[in-house]
Amino acid sequence: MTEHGGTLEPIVDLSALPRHAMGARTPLWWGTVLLIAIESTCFAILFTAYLYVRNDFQEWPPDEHLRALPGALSAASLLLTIVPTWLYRAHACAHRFASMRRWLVIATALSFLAILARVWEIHALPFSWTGSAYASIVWMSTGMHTVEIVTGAVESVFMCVLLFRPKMELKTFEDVEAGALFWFFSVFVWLPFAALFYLEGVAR
Amino acid sequence: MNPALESTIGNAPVTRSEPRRHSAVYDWLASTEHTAIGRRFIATALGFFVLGGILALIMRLQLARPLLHVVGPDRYNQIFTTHGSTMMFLFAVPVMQGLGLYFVPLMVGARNLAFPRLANFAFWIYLFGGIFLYIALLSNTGPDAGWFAYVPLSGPEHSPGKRVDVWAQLITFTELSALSVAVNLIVTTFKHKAPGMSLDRLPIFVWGSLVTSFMVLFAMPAVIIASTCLALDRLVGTHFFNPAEGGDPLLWQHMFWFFGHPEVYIIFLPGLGMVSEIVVSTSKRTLVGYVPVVLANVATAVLAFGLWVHHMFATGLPQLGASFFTGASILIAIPTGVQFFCWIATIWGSKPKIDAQFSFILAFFATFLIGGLTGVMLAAVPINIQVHDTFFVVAHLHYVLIGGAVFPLLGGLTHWFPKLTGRMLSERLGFLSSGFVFFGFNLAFFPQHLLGLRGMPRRIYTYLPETEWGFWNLISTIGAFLLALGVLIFLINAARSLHKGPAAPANPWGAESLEWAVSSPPPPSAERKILLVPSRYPLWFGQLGRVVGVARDEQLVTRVVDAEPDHVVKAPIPNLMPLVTALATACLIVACIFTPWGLPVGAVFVSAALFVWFWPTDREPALDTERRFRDESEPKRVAT
Repeated sequence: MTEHGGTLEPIVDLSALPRHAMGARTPLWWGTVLLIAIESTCFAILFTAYLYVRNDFQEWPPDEHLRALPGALSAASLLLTIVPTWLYRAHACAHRFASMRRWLVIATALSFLAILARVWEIHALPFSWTGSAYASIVWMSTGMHTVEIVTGAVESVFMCVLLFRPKMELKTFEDVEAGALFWFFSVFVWLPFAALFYLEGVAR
Repeated sequence: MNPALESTIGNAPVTRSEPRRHSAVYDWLASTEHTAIGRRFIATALGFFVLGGILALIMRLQLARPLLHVVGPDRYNQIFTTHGSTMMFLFAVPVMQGLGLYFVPLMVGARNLAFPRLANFAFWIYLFGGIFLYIALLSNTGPDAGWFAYVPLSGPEHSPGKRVDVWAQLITFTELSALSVAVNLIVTTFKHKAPGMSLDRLPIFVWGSLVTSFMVLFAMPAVIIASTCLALDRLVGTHFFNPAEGGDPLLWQHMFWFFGHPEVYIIFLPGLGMVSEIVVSTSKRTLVGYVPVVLANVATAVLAFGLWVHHMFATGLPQLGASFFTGASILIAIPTGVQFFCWIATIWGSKPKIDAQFSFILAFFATFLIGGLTGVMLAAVPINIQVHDTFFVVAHLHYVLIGGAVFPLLGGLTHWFPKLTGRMLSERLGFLSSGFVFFGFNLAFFPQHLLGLRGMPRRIYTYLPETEWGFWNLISTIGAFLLALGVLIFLINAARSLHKGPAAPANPWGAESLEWAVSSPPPPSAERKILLVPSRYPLWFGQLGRVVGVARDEQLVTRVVDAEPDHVVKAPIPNLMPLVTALATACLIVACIFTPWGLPVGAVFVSAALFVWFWPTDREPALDTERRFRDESEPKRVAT
């Protein structure tokens, strides 16, 4: 900051400030974190609703038992996407364009694989949402989370398209980082649900 | 930034074309000026306030005497539900957020909001939600299960048709809007403060707005999930609230009130912020206890999430649970009490100027105090159960919400009218208005305490003469019309002043905060200077400075706590995509009332709109991707 003298009014010249930043310095990062806070609350409420409804049942789960394999595969394929996401985020933060683009493409492809696994998981649910309150909550949680990961995957496709244009705005690095944050959330928010549903919903 | 990147950027020309010129209509629809969007929120919310008020007057006419038939029971149900939903979702929250959109950037010294196009989207989606509700009401499909839509009454068995679905989707519209604004206000406050406007210098209204926005983030998801579950129960046969299949009607109440109770504080905390601003500016003294008042705001927000169950005492709670929530409910009177004492101490001995804005604040003191005291009464389980679902509760909630939010709002609008419009209000009409509002309000609602204690239940469309409720109901109705007259005088004063009022100077009240440092009304954001803030009361203490080196189309980003300058970003170019996205979203929401396919089909259109919205404008610093890719992919060649 440079102080100019001459008048009583203090003047600061900020023309030398950077025109681009990353991480918690940027408004977009804060916007993304607040969006994650909103969605976390949504999922937390559903999670609590599941536990609340469980109190009303003598036998739990009240419907047919879940199949372990599709659920496990779906969760594992989601976890797998964390590695390339972590890498493309790190490269974005370091402004390494080529590596960022490479890992983003890989992460996007893996996220679609995870969606395929999710489709199988939904197909393998042994009950309809009309079965009981338990079935309704399992379906709604799974459905809401599917919307979440489809949104994240479509956003990744959009980012990929931007990165294959001849010119890329610097702030796209911020967008890519925000996309990664959102995807981390989308993956990790599912783990408590997967644990809850499959640890007690599968026949022993 | 690494040096290699800088060199690559240097080789890629940044397009710096002038933005295209558009028609006035386009500019209006696409506006990203926080002042324009804030004004639209305020004006629209006041419009819905009038509509909700008209519904209230119809109810009061119906109840004025026993066995009247102004409206039938079915219409009455729609009217009280729409009245409550309007006042909570279409008036109270949006008007406070609208004032936040308008004044928070001005008060923290930001040029504009962090996400102005998101704010534009929030306005349109809010407007469409409101219009949707009133189209439904006028076509005899208005929601009719109360503003909190308790199951099983609102479930598929007891409320066939689409009325409750209209309510559930109104929630989606308004919560989407409220959440968008909340995120905007938080990020603007955190990242776009003027240098020197550290967190410990924020005006109390900004603190109120900030705390409220955080509450919105954590409260609104509960009602979104609840209303979605309700809509699914009704549309596709899920069983969230159906006890026959293991669902639980009490689950609805928990989810609803986990939102609904904080909602009360979401509505009146910004109002308390306005009280602080007016008390300081009329007393011409710094606020006594700035830190305790800020902490009281934060404490209220935290405690607000721990007492929702006091709305459910009549459902038969375990004794320990009831005791806990009684304690928590009484506890929340403490931070509010702290604020009261700080205001009194500020005013004490200061010879405040008793003008129209201050008269509303005096009305607030008396009224809100009564509302708070009946709140403490209602926190006690025996009283709560005795007066549950009676007019005592109606009286209490109106004392809290009108006393705690509408009186400060009218005071705040009087205080800020010169800034909003560039015109001064008539003091005489202002006093007349506050007199009628205060007197009419107390005449309307105080008797309802008595009616409640005498057993008159809420939500009945008529009663028998033998109940002897007629006299106090008549008095209440007369009071309601006097209150409406007071509001009418306020609106006439505003309309008259807008055309004939004397021009307002930049700082007509000699107030202390930054919004008074700009002309009335404020210049467009691009033309606004970025100031250097010398103190907590920048127009009273210290010398204001200014920042140079930030272009007209740029926004300064500062650090969260100390507001030190960090970097500079481009302001977004206004376009129609927020409006188009809001239209697509509205179609999706309405379609979901009729078919679950509304979601996937609507999502395609919303996504397409978002793609266009986020497509780069190529006016930012950019890099040549092909060259970057080649350089990074072939390090050996670069090395040789």
